Amino acid sequence: MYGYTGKLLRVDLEARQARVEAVPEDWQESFIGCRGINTILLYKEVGPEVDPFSPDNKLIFGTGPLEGTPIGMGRISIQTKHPKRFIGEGGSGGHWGAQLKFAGYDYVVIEKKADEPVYILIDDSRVEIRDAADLWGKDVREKNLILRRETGLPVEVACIGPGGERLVSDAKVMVTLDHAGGRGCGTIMGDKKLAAIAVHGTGGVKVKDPERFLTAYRRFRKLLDLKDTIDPFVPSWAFLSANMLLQMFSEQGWLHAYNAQRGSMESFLNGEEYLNEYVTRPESGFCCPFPACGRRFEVKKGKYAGVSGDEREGGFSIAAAVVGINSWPVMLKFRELCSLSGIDEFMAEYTIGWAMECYERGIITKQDTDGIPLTFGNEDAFIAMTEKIIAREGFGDILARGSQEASKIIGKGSERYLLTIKGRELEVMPQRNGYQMALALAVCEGGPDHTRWYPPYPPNPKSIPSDLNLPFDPVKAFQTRSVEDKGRLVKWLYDSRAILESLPTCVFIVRNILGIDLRPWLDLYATCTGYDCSLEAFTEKGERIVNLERAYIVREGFRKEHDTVPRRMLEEPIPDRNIPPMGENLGLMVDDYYLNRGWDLKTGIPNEEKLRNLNLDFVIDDLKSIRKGPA
Amino acid sequence: MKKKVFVIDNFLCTGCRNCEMWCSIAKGNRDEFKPSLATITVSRDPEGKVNIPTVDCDASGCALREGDGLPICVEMCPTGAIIFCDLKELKSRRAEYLELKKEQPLFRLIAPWKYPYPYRRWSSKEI
Amino acid sequence: MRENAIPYAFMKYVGHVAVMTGKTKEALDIDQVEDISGLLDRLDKQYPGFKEVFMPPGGIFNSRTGIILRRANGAAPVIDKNHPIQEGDVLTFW
Repeated sequence: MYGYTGKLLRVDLEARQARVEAVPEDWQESFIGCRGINTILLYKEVGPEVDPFSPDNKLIFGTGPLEGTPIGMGRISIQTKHPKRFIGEGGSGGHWGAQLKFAGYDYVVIEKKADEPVYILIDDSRVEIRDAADLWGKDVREKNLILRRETGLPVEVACIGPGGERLVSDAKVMVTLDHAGGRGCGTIMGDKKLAAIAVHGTGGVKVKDPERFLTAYRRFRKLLDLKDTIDPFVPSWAFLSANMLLQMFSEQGWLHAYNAQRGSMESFLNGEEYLNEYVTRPESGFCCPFPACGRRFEVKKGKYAGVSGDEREGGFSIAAAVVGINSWPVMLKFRELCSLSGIDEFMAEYTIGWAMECYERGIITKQDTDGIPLTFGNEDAFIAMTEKIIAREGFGDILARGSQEASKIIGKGSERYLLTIKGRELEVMPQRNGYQMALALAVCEGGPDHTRWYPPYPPNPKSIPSDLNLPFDPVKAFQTRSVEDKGRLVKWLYDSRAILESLPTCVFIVRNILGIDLRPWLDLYATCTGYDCSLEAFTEKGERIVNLERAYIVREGFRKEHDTVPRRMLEEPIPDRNIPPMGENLGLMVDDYYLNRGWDLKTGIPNEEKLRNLNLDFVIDDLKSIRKGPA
Repeated sequence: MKKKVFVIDNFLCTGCRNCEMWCSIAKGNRDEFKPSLATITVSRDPEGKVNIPTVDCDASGCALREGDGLPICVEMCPTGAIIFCDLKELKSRRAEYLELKKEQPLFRLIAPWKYPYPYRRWSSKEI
Repeated sequence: MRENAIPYAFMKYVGHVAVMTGKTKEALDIDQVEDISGLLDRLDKQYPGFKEVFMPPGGIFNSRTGIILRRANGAAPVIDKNHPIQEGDVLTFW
């Protein structure tokens, strides 16, 4: 078999047993792999009757056919049923996925709960479930070192930190030290008392047509060349990744400053100062073509001297505006705290930002916050509250449940200031400034997750190949404050990124025309695995995956009224850039999206005709019983 | 023709293993990405401090090399951590690099021979 | 606005552009500068190689990306290479 290994490892933590199964070939044809096959596994095995914290919930780690080759970038997809009952899915990079592929497995499905902390060791065909009493409670870096020493192998580790162990909301799985994946999956992994999965593999990945694969890969690298590319994102992203966006977001009013009350801060962080003072060397995932998508940093002077770690894709620094902070040492200390403990930076920043607004409005007082004055810009308060969230003590225990649960406990009208969609905190993408981003966030099947449709920026219109039939008008659709053509654009973004995440490959190298032209990807897929198909059939696989994800959350009870953005985006303007609120524009775009998708306009449930066209007939029976009930 | 050797700067190595993967196709069975078939190995530090690639090769068996062109590992390295040159060229490149690294912190992330844009020393008051 | 005052616009440089100029911001005298194209010529004199990055010879200039213009009153118009420059404008190059 080329590309695929076709093997699934099923681990029962209660019985402490593991067995190997074969993956059905028609799934590989219909859903490609990684995120696609994870979804069909989750759909079939974790139904609406399963409580997320019960032993019947499953945790799935998946790789795909292109994993282990240089285009796979070590990407994996981690899926589970999120505590808020939608699909808790996250991708991650690093080197773990490649080791799993070399060990000979495409998927690992974790079932049941262990009664004592355990870890799984996968060394080629040897799979062991061992006691993890000496790992539980340690931070991520220590877990990595202990596991390498204990197993005697250069293992790659996917583990949770103390945050996940203590069931902090939206905790992450930390893969290969600092790569994080699966918002919410860390909480379930902690609930199952699984401390880590250590993998070591000595095999390889076979390629069907290596000559043409190399030609396709060279063309891909040329599209991302630092000089010849016509995408201005590439030269700066290649060194600073999202830290290059700090000043640009501030200029355009795209920041969620002070819990999204304003669009910019008077003086904000800049990535160039970061490069000058704190960066020491580059660090990448598996076979990443960028020089420095990730960087190692070190703080040498001042209050936080000695703080060091890794960061990539830098989104946490853009969200520093939410809490009103513009100091690099503080944000790097925050990053180190979150990486070592495995909690989600966005959840911490947005929850603390919301608490800060409540504090400034008098809804909560110093008595509630254990004596800490939670005002915007208070650096010590921010770090102290983050530490309390990780330790789950005092007010931190309330905040660790996420801002939506915390507002239920606090009451007093605090839910008015929440920035959540489907119960999960926002990520830094603006909404009032870019309507395509607002729509994409609203309809996402896993709460706000920008990696499912990233990047939403237009390619240079003159660079689009003339023989490419785009399903939307590139000039109209990318205009940031009009509702025209957004339905078709967002449908394309979701479908194409579903394919890319199933191959798998990293969405952050989707620059130049790689995000609108799927032909280079079809080339790479066909020359590696030998599965050849037309461009239409290839594109349809993405649509099939997204419709299946939508069917999953419809089965759980999500409907059109859940596809919305926070109240603040709909009702309040951005005062410092004179940008009006969204008002009714969101509703118009959601209707447009459902129309283009073939979904019911009142409920958001996929129509029977659409499901039949996509060969998802088994879903029709499931949803029939739902349609009979009240819409 | 002067003899050329592979030289690696550990601090520019990101640990991506592009070199290892392409070497295994160039040297091995020609249809499999398998790290054990490569003549270059990257040891990644679990604490993330520095990666150490070690190479045991003279580029003669590199099937993906086009004539006198670059060996595949040098072509695919994103930062320019690995170069293939003779001893005289190596000395002048190293000296130039160490000077430039003091002037512009960007060269902690990429080698100057891979960076195509002009650059200047930071005006320290303007950051 | 006084008659004989020198008009200034403010430049901000991001990422690799900041590496090219060695700074992240500066105030530029735009007395002889009419539009974006003229501004790029002016900056190219100060930083050789600057213009080529944004207007490669025989290449494509895209006004939606690469240069962001913000007027003093907060407006952010879409620009092309002939767009006029005014006093008080903030231009971000990325």
